[in-house]
Amino acid sequence: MMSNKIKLLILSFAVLFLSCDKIKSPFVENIVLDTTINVVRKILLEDYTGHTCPNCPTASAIIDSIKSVYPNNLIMMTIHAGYFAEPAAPPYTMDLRCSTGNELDDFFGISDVGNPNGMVNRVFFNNSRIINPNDWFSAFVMEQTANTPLIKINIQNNYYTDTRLLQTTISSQFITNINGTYKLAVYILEDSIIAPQRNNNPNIGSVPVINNYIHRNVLRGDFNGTFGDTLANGDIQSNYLVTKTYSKIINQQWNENQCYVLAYIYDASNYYILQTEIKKIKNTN
Amino acid sequence: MSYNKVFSIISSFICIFYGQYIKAQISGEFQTEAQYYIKDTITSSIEVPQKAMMNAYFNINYTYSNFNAGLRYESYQGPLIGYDTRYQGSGIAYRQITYTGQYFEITAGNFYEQYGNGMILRTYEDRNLGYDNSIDGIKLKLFPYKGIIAKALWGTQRFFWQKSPGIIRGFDAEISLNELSEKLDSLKTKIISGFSFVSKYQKDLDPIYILPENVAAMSGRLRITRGNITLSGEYAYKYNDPSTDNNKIYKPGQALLLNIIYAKKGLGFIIAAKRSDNMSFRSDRTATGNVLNINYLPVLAKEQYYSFATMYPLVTQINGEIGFQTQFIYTFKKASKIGGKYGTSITIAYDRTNSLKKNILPDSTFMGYASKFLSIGKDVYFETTTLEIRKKMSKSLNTIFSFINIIHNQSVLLGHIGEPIIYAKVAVADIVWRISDYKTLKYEFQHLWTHQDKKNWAGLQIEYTIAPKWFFNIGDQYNYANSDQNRRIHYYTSGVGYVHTATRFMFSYGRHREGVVCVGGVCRNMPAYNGFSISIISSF
Repeated sequence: MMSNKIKLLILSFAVLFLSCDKIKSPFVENIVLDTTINVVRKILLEDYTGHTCPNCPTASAIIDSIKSVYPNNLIMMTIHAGYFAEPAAPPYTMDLRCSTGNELDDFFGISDVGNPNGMVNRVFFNNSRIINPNDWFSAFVMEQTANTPLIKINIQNNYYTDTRLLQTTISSQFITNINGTYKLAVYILEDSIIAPQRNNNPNIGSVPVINNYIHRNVLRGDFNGTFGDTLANGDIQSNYLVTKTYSKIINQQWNENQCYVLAYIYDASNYYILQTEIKKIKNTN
Repeated sequence: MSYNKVFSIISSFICIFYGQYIKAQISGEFQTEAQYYIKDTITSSIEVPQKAMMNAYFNINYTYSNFNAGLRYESYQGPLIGYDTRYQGSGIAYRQITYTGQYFEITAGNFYEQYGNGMILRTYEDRNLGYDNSIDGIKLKLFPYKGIIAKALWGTQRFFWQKSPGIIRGFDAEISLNELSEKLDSLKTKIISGFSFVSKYQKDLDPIYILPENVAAMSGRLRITRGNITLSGEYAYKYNDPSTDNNKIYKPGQALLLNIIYAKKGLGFIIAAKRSDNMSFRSDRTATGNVLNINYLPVLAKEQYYSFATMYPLVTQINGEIGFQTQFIYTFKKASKIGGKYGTSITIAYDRTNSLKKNILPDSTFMGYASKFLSIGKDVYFETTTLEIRKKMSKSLNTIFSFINIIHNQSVLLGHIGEPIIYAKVAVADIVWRISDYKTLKYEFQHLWTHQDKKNWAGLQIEYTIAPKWFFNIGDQYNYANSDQNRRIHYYTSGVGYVHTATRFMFSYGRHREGVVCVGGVCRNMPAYNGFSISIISSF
């Protein structure tokens, strides 16, 4: 027969497991916006999507809600890649994929996990770099509140309408002393492409397809390779400034009035993005 | 040095040195499948830059006296198409040491466990699904008194080659009342009762939501058997668990499973009902897909074996579903009018799963919806009606004839939003002709009718076995009625296998259609592919 000590051990085990937190209203934290920072840290949200992905418009609406709270801190880019982005039977005949987006998708394995999914500054949120749209807001706020800006980016675009040549100059200035290898990636985006999009959310638009869906900030290509080129490495001093110029012919099929240059700087050791900036190509400022 | 390496070295030491001097038992199993992919423009199968990919598993178990140790090495060089690419890599995915004493058993390392029907805890491995949610930690099993088993566990779950961010703690006690005394044991009615409690911990790093870091679930179960009839039931409750699955609502989860089983010689029936509501329970609240599930929600649908009958499967809806299942089996006696000389058995089964009836609540409540426990939603998720007749025609001829009527809500079950509900009918004739003591020929004719999806299919599979060494098969599934003429594709397959002692080699070639592979309601997508396959399974 088992001793009383062992019986007591069983009871102790049972008590040990009685762990449960029952949360009562309010269910959300009291968030206070910090508006005192001069150099704004802009956070890149990469939305991996596809036109036959029915849940993707809902994800896009989440981005809009973040943008409504943090209009100056969020830069979003949609990457059409993977199964849901493939051209399919009408009306999904448009192909918004590009080699840059495909390479990013393959590298980070986003569409293997499924769409919609994305990355917020490529930060790990709950141990995963790939973040479900339901957690984008949380990941964004965590990233926004946890870090101060380390680098400032300025974009100067010269666009020649007759030849459709775009020259873009990216000036990157480190605000603080820092050590490591940092890379600059420069992309071209096209905003507000109107094309059919599968949808399962009647609150957003018609179901099962929104024929005139506005595809926002679609990645079209890059200036300096998918993963960019090295900006600085080693011990980098505060105020260190690097200026790089790139050029590209803007595709005839793209609406030049809706094209943007997006530049971001990331830590080459872990792909974590430190700063992002975006600018319209036809903006003369 | 990592814990894995230390563990492996210790295990190897035990196996090699101790095994030589004392009577120890070593057993194991090796399984590998390698596939070579060929570009197929007809099926639009995905291109594989590596051309060939492989999954391999090697298990070894060592038992001596009260000790048992085991490890499993896995290697995914690809991995195979249809498996989660996060498996890419090699390493020891499972290792454990167990000591079994008179009153207790303790396991350190990886283990699998199930409490009751698994509605609050079930960890298991299924290689067909690429599913492994084993726990790495400590498991204790106690036998304090005859008829009483208590279990406790504590650990983290496998997440491909990493661990879950959450920690699982579990406790289960089961009492077999009849075993408590001789007097009770003499009763005709047998009663087994159990209670489980599982709690998970995951840090709240969310800057917006106030998330419960400790989430508990509990369940109680009862099984009563008298004579040929068994009644069983389990109820589970889960506290607030806002997650990606449930769109971060704080509503508690509930599940109820009831079964009535009657079985006697020649006659049996099953009646089962289930309701589950918001019972996704994972060791990472942000996880989606077939990863980091702590629990398992049983499906109520007759298990189907034939490929066309599994084309439109029931996929468990973790956010909520309500369903029931009935199955009746009767065997007509030999030499009776219907039974014939060798007897005939008939199975009639019907199952249906619907949505829950929900009243959506305002977002400000963070509760999502309200749902009355016994209310049934209007959306049909899945329904099958099966008629199966098994008849032995002669000493050398066995037949099975099946007819299955399927209703499949692909919009909900497969996420094919906007696509219509599929109404399909499947007929199967499975004929096994035993040519001689060693040679068997099997024909499997199948046909699927539907006006939806890819329309009608016809299929034939022929298998020839020369026991005990060789087997051959050839088959074709033809989507002859596809509304797109260019998609009327033959999916032909062929293979040859050889068995030598405890080792089976199989070589096959074919074009495989895209679809969904499901086991018990847990499913993975399978893209179309074309190519060769070699598999080896060996045990020792």
